[in-house]
Amino acid sequence: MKLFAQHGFGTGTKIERGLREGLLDGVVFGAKDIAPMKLGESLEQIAADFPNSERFFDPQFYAVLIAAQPGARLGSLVGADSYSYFEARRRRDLERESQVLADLRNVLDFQAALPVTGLIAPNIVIRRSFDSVEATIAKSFLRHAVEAASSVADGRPLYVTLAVATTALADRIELQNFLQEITEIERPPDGFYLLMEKPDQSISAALTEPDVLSRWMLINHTLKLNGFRIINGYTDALAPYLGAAGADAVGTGWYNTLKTFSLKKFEPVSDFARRPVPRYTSKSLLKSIRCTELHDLRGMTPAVLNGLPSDAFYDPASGSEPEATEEALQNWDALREMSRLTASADVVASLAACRAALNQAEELYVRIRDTGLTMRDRSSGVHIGLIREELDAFEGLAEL
Amino acid sequence: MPAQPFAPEVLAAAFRELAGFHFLATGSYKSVYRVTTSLGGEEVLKVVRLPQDRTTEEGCALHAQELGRATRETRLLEQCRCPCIVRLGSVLPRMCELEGESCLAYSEEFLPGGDLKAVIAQGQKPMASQIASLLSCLVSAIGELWTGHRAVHRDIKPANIFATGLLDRPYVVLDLGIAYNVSEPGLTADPSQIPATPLYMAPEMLDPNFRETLSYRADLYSAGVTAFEFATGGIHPLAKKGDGLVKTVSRVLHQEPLRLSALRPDLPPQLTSLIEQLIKKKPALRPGNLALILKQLA
Repeated sequence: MKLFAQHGFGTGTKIERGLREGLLDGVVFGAKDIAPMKLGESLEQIAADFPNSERFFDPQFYAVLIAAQPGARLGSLVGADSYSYFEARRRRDLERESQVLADLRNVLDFQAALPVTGLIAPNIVIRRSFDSVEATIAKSFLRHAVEAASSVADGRPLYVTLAVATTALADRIELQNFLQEITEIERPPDGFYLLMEKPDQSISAALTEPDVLSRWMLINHTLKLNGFRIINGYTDALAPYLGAAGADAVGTGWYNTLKTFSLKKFEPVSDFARRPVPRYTSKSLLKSIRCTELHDLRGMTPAVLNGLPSDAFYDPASGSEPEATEEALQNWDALREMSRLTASADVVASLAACRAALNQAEELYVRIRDTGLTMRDRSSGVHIGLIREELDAFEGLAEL
Repeated sequence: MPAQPFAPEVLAAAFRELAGFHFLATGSYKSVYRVTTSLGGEEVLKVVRLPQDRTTEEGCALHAQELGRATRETRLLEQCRCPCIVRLGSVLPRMCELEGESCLAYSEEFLPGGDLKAVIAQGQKPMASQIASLLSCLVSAIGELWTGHRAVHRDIKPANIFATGLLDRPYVVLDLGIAYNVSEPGLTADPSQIPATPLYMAPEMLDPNFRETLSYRADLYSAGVTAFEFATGGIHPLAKKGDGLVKTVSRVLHQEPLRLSALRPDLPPQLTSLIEQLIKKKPALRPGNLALILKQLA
């Protein structure tokens, strides 16, 4: 499974270093956080320096439905030097097939001129249910994407955005019917850019919620069975499980807003995010812990360390605290290794590897507890039980 | 109760361009005869005995159902170009009176070989290439019906497949009698009747609202079960001998199928995995990209 940088605010040299150090296979640029001119330059630079990298552009079209809200945080999507395809839309606009087709063409025409290695067709987020007007609109984007791309067809693969809110996953039957329908469309794309929208941007201690990871895995598994390539955006520590279910690539960034996908990122807010506490991603614990926790643990339970070159960024002499770019590099390094350990050509074998990794993580948490150290909630082992349950649920849903 | 066959002389009087009229088989309304055409070729004559009682609402509905199904079947056969679907013969669909009964008759090509049910009954385990060949033919036929005509066969099973021994069309799908066009109104008169063979019926067909989501994946399921039985020399992935209808339906809905990979460990994993995937209970879990399946089988 490939690992992409999920681009966003505060890029600095993170992506370039990630590619140079072999931690990343590519990048997904996000429109909100880069102006069109700069986007073109950045893509050209990456294409020149890393010709084998995969390069994508997420048009972030899904923000059109909230664009009219006063105070909407749209960054480079609007303003003087902005993206010509981006306009405020009402749901009723998108109920018209002609508008969907026009928006698809505008977005794909824009991307075609960029040195991206694949095109990402736009879509809206299915926020309520798969039996809703939004779902109908989303299917309209899916059905017409190939037709819209035909005018810019140049051999590059076409991915269509499929963005689903976790709340919409609640109805299992509707989800299965939706999956049946989208895998039977007459002119299918090459792949999907899959986004799972959370109602907020926080990262929970359990990393997922009941019936979310299992159904996210089911979407990956079903699409893979039908020959599609799947790029999952904003996955962070869930990457290994999605890889086990068949994902071809995952994207993750450095801030919470780039590790989970939420339209909150575009909505008006009254307070602004604080700079996050630096963290260390432990492949043995299958999640990240605070640097201070790493500092306390590394002497007593060295198994929390990954034994990867990026461990060097967390120098005990400086309190095991890295600088921001190196924290991002370490996260990619750990996720890459976690995904490598749990990936197999066979989904049953991959699930077994995931379970083995969870068992090992559980044992390590017991050893940590025995040291007398208390982990903060987000660093705790509460994810293990829920992820186990989600793997079981996925196994049932996928009839494995 | 199966329809009574007509006597050869009755048929000879009605179909003067044909001769022979060797009785082959009969179903609820249909009887089938091997005939010789005026040009000396062999064909299969099918006579659908339409329900005669049209004095009641139910009788009229049954008459309309059988006439509608036969008409749809022949129209589909006329339009299909896939060599893995049986072709219409020289007798184009026509209404006729036989022994005072209203009938619809038409002919199909006569195929060499025998039905797959008889082949499976021999209990032999075929080679991987034969199984792949069967699946390729079935998937090609399913693809033609769906992509060309928005139709689902609904009754793919060993008895409706002819093993011809021909190189270019080794297996041919027969009997589109209950094929369903998703763009047309339903023809089934009694809503409590599900037109299919329970042992080969996709689980979603047991949902009373199955027409809402019915697609070619129901046929892929039946094709998978058929390929499974063929591969194992007659072992059904779910049913056991002596099962009644209720038990069979329960197994179709709930029971985990046997693993082909365990029964035929000598077969390529890619092939056993494909067949196992085709008989998943949820339609979305069955591979839906027909071109990709054919590529895998090539």
